[in-house]
Amino acid sequence: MPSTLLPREPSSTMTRRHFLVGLGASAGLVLGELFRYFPVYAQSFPDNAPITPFRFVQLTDTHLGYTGDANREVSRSLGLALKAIQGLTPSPDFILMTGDLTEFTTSAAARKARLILFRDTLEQTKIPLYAVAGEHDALLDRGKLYASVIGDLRYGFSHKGVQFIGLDNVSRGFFLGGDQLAWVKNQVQQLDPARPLIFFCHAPLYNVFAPWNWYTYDGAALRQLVEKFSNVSVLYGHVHQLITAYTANLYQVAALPTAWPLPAPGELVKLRPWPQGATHPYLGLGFRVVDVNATGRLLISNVRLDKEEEVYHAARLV
Amino acid sequence: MRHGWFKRVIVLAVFSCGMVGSAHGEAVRLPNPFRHRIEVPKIPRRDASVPTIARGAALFARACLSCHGPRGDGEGFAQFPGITAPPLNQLSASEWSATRIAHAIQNGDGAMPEWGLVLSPTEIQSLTLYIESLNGHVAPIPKSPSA
Repeated sequence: MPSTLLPREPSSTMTRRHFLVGLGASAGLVLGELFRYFPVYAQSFPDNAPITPFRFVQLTDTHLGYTGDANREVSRSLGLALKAIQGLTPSPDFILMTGDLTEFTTSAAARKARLILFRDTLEQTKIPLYAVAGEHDALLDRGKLYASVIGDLRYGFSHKGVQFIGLDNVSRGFFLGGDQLAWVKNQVQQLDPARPLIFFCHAPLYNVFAPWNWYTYDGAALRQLVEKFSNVSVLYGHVHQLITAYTANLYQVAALPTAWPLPAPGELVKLRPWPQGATHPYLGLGFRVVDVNATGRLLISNVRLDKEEEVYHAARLV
Repeated sequence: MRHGWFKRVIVLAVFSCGMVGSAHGEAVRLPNPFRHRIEVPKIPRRDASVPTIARGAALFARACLSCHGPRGDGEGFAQFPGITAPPLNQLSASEWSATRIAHAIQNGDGAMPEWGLVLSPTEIQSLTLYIESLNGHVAPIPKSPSA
């Protein structure tokens, strides 16, 4: 008897239609999983649309997984920051995370777990996330785990007429490297120098204090690449405090961390955080709200976790 | 007698005029401090492509001091929890040849950056010379290719 005349067993046989439906579903699952692991960075880049005013938040140095006296509950201070961010009116279009999502660990499994914890925590806010790695996340394995859990180490995107470029100046050392500089050169050649350009990275692109690794070895080479641009800002973290500097045509600003503050640079001593204060546990912690107006200028507001009423106290138009 | 006294006065007057005149003449010959130029001989500089310990020391201060310490003894100012940068002033010459030191700088390992991505081969050789000098190894005297 020909086998085609036998009654079909749905569990053991598959028609072409079933196969295609299954294939499509599998592809969807795989793509869904990919986008879960790789946040959607791809937007039109460059973007020639007129600038529409918008708001975004800079979050930095959350150091999830840290245990010690500098912050006895890093997840709690991150939760406070996220709660404040979710309560902002108008709400931010996205969160820009400038590195050190997790605390350094030599265990790859622990690092992966911490990165997943960060990703899942941020996903609960329902606010899109654009992140770059810090040296705590990426130096030990050259960013491999970070790339698999969070996303690309460097990328560019445009949002409502403003150009953003995320840089990796930590995963191979505190430098950009010739390959990345060539990539940036190729990116900026496609961009309009009259439009605002915002770099975001972990370490500063100038020498804040090299003995504490607060610098980018070849940052000057990047500054030369954007000489023609009239409005360039660099948002960075790493230094765990507010530092502002104009270097040639670049306006470079560091944001408050949510983990712990660090001393001001200048003394040739070992870099150590202070123990968290019992009376002011969130002193020196916070995040940044950036409002971009129609001319592309940035209104920067630094929000302190210990004094929410001072949200706009440090507002500054750039 | 009176004639002899007059002669001596005349000779003395002429001698005095000569002294004043010669002093005045020397003052005229002095160079004008605002006009004369001092020609400084040019100091010959080494070829930039030649590695030197001095360049290595400058690079060390910029790129290595933060983790390995100003003396290269591992007492750096910025460290990661759980790991420390190894001391670079206790390297045995038999285990750490110049080639191995240069390889470590070039390729990195773990938290040690891949400096070969930003430093030139000459700069890596300069750093190698400096690290060898920290250990008292006899550093070879580099020679210019043109010499």
